[in-house]
Amino acid sequence: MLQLNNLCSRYPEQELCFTLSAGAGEITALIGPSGAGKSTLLAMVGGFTSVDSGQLLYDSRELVPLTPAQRPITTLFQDNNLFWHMTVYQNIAIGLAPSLRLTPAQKATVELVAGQVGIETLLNRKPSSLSGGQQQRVGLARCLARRQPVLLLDEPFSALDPALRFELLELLRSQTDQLQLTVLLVTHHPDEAARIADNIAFVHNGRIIESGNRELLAAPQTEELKAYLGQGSSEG
Amino acid sequence: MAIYQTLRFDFDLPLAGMLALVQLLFCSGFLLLQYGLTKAAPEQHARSQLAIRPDRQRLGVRLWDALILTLGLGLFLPPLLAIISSGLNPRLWAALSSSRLWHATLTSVVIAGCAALLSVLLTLGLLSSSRYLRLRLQRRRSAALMEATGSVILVLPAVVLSTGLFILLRNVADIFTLGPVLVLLVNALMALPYGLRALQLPMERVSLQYGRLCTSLDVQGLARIRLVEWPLLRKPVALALALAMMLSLGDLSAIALFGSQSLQTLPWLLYQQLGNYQMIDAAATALVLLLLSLGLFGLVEGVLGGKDAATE
Repeated sequence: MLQLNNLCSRYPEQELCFTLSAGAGEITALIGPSGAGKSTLLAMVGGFTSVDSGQLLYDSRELVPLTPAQRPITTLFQDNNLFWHMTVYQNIAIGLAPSLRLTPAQKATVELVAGQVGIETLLNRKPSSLSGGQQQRVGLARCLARRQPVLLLDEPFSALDPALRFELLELLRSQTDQLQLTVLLVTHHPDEAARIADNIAFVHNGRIIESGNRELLAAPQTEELKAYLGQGSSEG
Repeated sequence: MAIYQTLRFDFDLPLAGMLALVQLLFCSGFLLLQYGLTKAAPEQHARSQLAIRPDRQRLGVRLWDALILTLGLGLFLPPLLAIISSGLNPRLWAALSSSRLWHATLTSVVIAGCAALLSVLLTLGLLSSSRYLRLRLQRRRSAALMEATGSVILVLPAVVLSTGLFILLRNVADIFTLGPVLVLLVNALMALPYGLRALQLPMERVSLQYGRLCTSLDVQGLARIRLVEWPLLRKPVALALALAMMLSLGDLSAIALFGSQSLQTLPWLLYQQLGNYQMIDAAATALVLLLLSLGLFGLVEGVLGGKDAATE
């Protein structure tokens, strides 16, 4: 179980504080307008930005003092997920061994996850020769190969066509169920959230002001979420 | 030249110091003027690999460009051709058999190689620190200040720096025994501004693109240098190294003060030969210096920079 207990980060222009729980095998979608703090929330959990107060727990273990690499977390960023001078194989393998010196078991893991995400025939290619969807599969394959229980995704599929996006989201759903991952997914697409997420959290002005299951989008309670979904107060 | 003559012929240290100060003031003034008149390039242009020329299809513009390039070549090529034509004379082989020439060649190559290596190491160290300050700690002013220290040689030309070292060390050590080290040091510092310009943007680009990913995957230390930094930076590193070698190979400032019968580089030998009206020998020396410069530049940039390396 991943828990954020009033986890706060303060900036001159904004204070962000989040409280959230996410269990194994669950996808929690973070939705909200630009600048609300969704990506900063992921950065705080991933260890890429400083935390001023609050608790970040995974199975009752405090994560705040740990470096990003020490946390039981792996992140798929919005961009710059791949080393363009390395092959697909190396891009996955570096997630398992930063020196790229792999044990036979690690080599087998690379082959296995490449098969799971459908890129087993592309292992010797460079990312520049792949399509956008294939590139994101490589990033996802590395995340899965690392076998970390928490997966953070910061709009990783936002630049893809809808069909491809949903294909990759289905893949994410199946891997989450199979590996019992705890997933936090930032998205700008409420339909995406409604389709694959178990829980949805609406982030507004540095806070989670409304959360619930998929039904949340059908019956929003706050004016802010209604406005975000394009349902004016007269309609609501 | 006045500083050199004052130090080496008249040994008038106060006058040499004063001349160095005048030079320092002039250089500082021109540098301040340059900073005042220069506008910072827009960020996206500075970061792009190639200059964007939407007007390149227009014939008039192309002709104008061709004219400017021809005029540039008109200034650059004649002295180059003069060196080659005067170097290729019937007595070239006799001049080339001089042990003095080959001794000076070896000294030049060793000093240039060591100075270039030292210069690139200093540049990488400075830029690693400034990159950390700018991107991780968000201390842009401190980063800019740190980079400016590397360009201080623009205010403090090699001859001024050499004069300072000459005056400072003459009472505590034998200047001419320390000669090779001092020439190497001054040559390395001379190349710093060029190394900074060649490496600053590529190093920041690597950090911006891959810093967060490396941190998340724990690709740090030697693994990061071997797998990420070196493959992406070998081309600009090779360029910085080649530029530093060229500057050192052609330097006549430091060697003029610290050179001796036992420490002779090719430019210093050339200067002495011209002074003694040994024109045939000087032509051979100039030809060797030219071929050495071109050969080493191509070798360092081509081999170290990788198969697709080329000066941008």
